[in-house]
Formats: sequence, C-alpha cells, structure tokens
Amino acid sequence: MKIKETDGMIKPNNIILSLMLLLGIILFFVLNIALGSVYIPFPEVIKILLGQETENQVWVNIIIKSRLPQTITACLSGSGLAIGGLMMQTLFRNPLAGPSILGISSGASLGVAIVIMFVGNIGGIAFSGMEAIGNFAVIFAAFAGSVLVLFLILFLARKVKNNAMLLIIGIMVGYISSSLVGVLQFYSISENVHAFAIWGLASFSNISWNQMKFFIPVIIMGMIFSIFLMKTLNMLLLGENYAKNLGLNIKRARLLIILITGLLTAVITAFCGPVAFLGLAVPHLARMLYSTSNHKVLVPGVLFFGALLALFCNLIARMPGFDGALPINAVTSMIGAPIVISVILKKKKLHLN
Amino acid sequence: MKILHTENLSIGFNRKRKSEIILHKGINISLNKGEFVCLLGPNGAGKSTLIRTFVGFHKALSGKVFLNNKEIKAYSEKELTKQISVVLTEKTDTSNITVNELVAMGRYPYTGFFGKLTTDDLRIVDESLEQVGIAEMKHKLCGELSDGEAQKTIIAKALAQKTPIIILDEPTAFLDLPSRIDIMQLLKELAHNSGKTILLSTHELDLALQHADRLFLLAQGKEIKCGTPEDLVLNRDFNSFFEKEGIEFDNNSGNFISTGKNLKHINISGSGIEFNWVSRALRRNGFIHNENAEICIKINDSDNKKYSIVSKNKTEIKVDSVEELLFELKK
Repeated sequence: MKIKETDGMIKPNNIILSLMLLLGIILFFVLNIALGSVYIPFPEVIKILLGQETENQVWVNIIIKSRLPQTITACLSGSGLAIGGLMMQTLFRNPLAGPSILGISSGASLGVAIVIMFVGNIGGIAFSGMEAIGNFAVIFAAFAGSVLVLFLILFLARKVKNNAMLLIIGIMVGYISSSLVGVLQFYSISENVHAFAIWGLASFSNISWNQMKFFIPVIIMGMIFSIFLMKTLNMLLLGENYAKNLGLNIKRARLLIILITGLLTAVITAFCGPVAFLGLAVPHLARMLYSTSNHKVLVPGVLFFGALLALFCNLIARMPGFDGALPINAVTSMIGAPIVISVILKKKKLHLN
Repeated sequence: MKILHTENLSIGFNRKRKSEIILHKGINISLNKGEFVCLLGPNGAGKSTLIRTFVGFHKALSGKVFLNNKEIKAYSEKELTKQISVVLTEKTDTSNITVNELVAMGRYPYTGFFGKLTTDDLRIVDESLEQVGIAEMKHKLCGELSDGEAQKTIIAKALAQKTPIIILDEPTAFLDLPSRIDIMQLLKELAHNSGKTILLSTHELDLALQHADRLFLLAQGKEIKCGTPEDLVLNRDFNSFFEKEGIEFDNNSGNFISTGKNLKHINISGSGIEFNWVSRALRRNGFIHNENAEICIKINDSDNKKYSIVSKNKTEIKVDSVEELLFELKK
C-alpha cells in the first residue's frame, strides 16, 4: 500500500478519527443538555436552545441557567486540563505529569482552605451558611492561591535550569500547601471541613453566566496559545539540546509552556475545583488513539478528546438515577481509569516513552 | 579551506561562586571543508565538552571559536541552526513518531510558525533518508527500529537540516560492530561525496584509524594533537595518548595489545594467515615471539598435521588444531 506524503493531522485516518471525536462531542453536548434529574421532552429542549417560545418557564430556566453553562464548562475544562497535561508531560518528559504537577492546584486548595476554614473559624460560623458571598470568595481564593504558586514556579524556573529539579520543586510546593491545608483542617469545625472536602471533589455546575464571561475567553485563549506551541512541543520530544540546535529558545519555550498551563489550571480550578484525572489520562488516551506523539496531531486530538471525556463524565454524574449526587472527581477516575487500563492492554505495542 | 577553527580555546565548567574547572586549555585546531575528523581521547578528557563548546551549548572559558572566520558568539540561534547540526547521546522521546516525522524535524529551522513542510522540504527529507539508506523504513515508528537504524534516523535528521558542518557525540556507542563500521563508512562517504564537514567523538580507535581523514587526540594534561592517523601513529603520539600499564599500542598492526607481565618466549616459524592466527593464540596465552627461544612452533604448509612443537631436546609433537597445540604447550 502506498501511503500518501502527509504532514501531521492531514493523514486520512487522523481526519476520520477527529471527525468521530467531534461528532461525539456534539452528541454528548446535546445529551448533557437534554438529560438530567428533571425530565424535559426533547423537542422542547431544541426549542429552548433555539430561543423559541415554550409554555414552561421552569424548563427554560433549567436549561439556560443550569444545564447550558454546566455543559460548556465541562467541555472547556476537559480540553483545557487535557492540553495542560499534554504540555507538562512533554516538557518534563514524564508520563506521570499532569496540569497540577507544579503545585498549582495545591495552591488553589490552600487558598480555598484558608477562606473556608480559617476565615470561617475566626468568624465562628459554618462557611456553608453564607451562600453567594461564599461562592465568590472561594473562586477568588482559589485563583489567588494558584496564581501565587504559578508566579513562584515561574520565578524558580528562571533560576533552576534542570527540568527534573523544577519538577521536584513543584511537587515540594504542592506538599507544603497540602500540609498547611492539613493543619487548617485539624483545627476546623466539621461543617467547614466537609465543605472543603466537597469543593475538593470538583463540580462543573458552579459557574453562573456572569462568571462565564471571564471563564470562556481565558480558556479559549489558552487553547489558541497551545496550538501555537505545537512545533515547540515536537522539538522538545528530541530533548533540550537537540531542540536548541534546531533554533529553539529553551528558556522562553519553558516559561511559555508553564505560564499557559498554569493559567488554564488556575482558572479551571478556581471555578470547578481540582478536577482530577482528566489532565493526566487524556494525553495518554489520545497518544494511543492516534498512535503518535507528534504534537501536530496530538494537540488538536487532546483538545477534542478532553472535551468529549469531560462531557461523558459530567453526563454520568448527572444521570437521572444519581440525581446530581455524584461528584465529578469520583466519576472521572471511576470511568477514566478502566478506559486507560483497557486501552493499554489492547495496544501493547505502543510505547509510553 | 578552514570552516571552523579555534584560537587559544579553554574548555571546562564555570561553577557558580567557585573557581572554574578547566578541562583543557590552549586548544588551536581547525576543521576543513569536506573533511571527516574523529576526536579521540580517554574518558574524562573533555571530548563532549569540546564538542558542546563548538555547537554553542557550552560557553568557552576563554579563547575563541570561529565559524567561517566569524566568531561563533556573533551568530544568532537562528543562524547557527543552519550552520551546525548535531547528533548527541541524549535520549529522545520519539518512540511514537515515524522515521519520516523525526527526519522532518530537521527542516524546522526553515519552516514557519506551525512547522508546515513545503514540497521542497519533503523532497529534502526523502533525500536525507535515501542518503543514510533507510528510505524504506520511513513510515515505521522510531520505537520499532534497531539501535543502528535509530542512529541513522538521527543522522538523516542532521542531514535534513542542510548544514555545512555535522558534529556527532559518540554516534557509535551502544551499537554492534557491523553497525559501527556501517555508520563510520556512511559518515566518511557523506563527508567526501557531499562536501560536508563531519566531526565525531568516539572511543573506536581502530575504526577511527581506518576511516578518518584526520584525528584530534585529546587527553588531560597533554597538548591536543592533530594529524592524519598515519602521522600520529608514526610519531608515536598514539602510544603516548593511550598506553596504560599492561596495554600497549602495536605500531605494526595498529592494534592495542595487552602485555601480560610474565611473558614466555617462543619461536614461531611459518608464514601466511596461519602464522598470524597462531601468533595471536599464543600471545593470548602469554607467549611472545622470539627467534632465539628454545621452544619452536612450526607451521607446516604441506603436512596434514598442520602444526608441530619442537622442544629443547629436539623432540617433535605434531597436532592438527590450534586448540591441541595450546593443550600440548601447557603440559
């Protein structure tokens, strides 16, 4: 068989695969909006989405104010975390790296823990008592915590040349904030500890349309930047010195990758909590699905696959039977881990670098 | 024609807040166009550091490196990437990309923001694969290649980079002997046929002696030596660089031989291929050729018992294999 001269994504197989993923995203997007604890007839769902008149105003509220933002959040978070994970795995040449490997989501946890438990303790009240202000405070604290860690890491990245050392520093920063969180938990009333634990299980459903105005552009910007980094990431596959010899400015590339991943992770963690698993697993699944490490294929592939898997997990979490009771982190790992294991067993040939 | 040369170059490491470690100083060498040069030296001599200083990975402690008579520091990263390409010992994470994709990365300095390849780029990639002889593996994943093929892929990447100079750091390490010879011949042909200047560091003294146009000998505490392999052997530079106690460079054969301490003398007479191999077997067992020795080994061309041992009292034992010969000698 003669294979046509191709470059990255343009291979026929990859196009078909990507189209299938896109179709899957559309399908699950619609399912996420149509299904839920309240039954709404499908024709009505379409009508509401198209902005036509319907008799039941409650349905309109459910779909426009709850399900639609939740679905969009799931979609973008999945893509954002997955692309962050891919960039970290390539930069640190470590299959166990994920978007939160540099301690950025631990920083968010610390921020939230301070708000929920420390402030709550001083006030002497249970944090769950203050709804609206609480939500904003949590988002702000998470964002502040993660951005603080991000700047710390960026500062250290300029000092530490060796990537492995930087990775260890990131993990250490994570440990420090976890231990501080532990101390806070130890001295807190159980309601606040519980509230913090719930935040730690993540959710796509806490974003209002107002917050979406900030969330959507930031995530989409991060994705666009990651697409610009495809060539850089490919060069990094060869190792730093080869990349340098091909004309890559290693220092700048490293700072850019960390900055973009950090911002994506910070924003997603601030609004959704520390979403586990997706960022680590999706790059591996995409590598196996497309059978390549070429980032010209992987970057788009990971963006598609991340969105699809997040939508799928969100759908499971909100299945009618569960009544919205399952936290997203339970589902991502419960669904995702077996998928990863089965794909590994099926495709033994593939190398995990 | 000089393409790269150094002036009073010092190489080594510059440690923060501590004194610098100088591995070698006063290096004045030059590389000519279309020349295949091997850099030889014992471990720790600074071969890799010298190579890295040429490529710009390492800063020179003092002295200058010139490329086309312009100091290498004056080149931007973008310019340098079109002048020198490298093959390193660094591990790559490329097992899941195809040979074609890897070699195509050699074109990255010439491509735009997204690394889109033009038909010209694709043609150059094909030519590079052709030149190293792995064109038929182009769609294989790099993880499926043998070590020799993987090394050729990286060399093809360097070729695709279309640089006048290629510098290789121990490209034959980890390869089996046929692959090592294969790579050395390939590099020599590339230098001679396509006019590229190729410098490689290696531990393969015998291969370097056979293939290199010139050699650089580098060892700590000695001035760097350059010259054709033959000159360096005849000047006895080779001996002085590589001889250790118990290991000796045989200027006649161009091989290293181990010199045991208690050598027994033996007189070997005969000629041809049998003579060479019998001498070798005897040397391995601690005997050295000496015409005045009492015990004599004869190699008989006509007899069907090939070898005979004549001892002090003129008794002769005939045997028909080297194994038996050694067995009789040890009695």
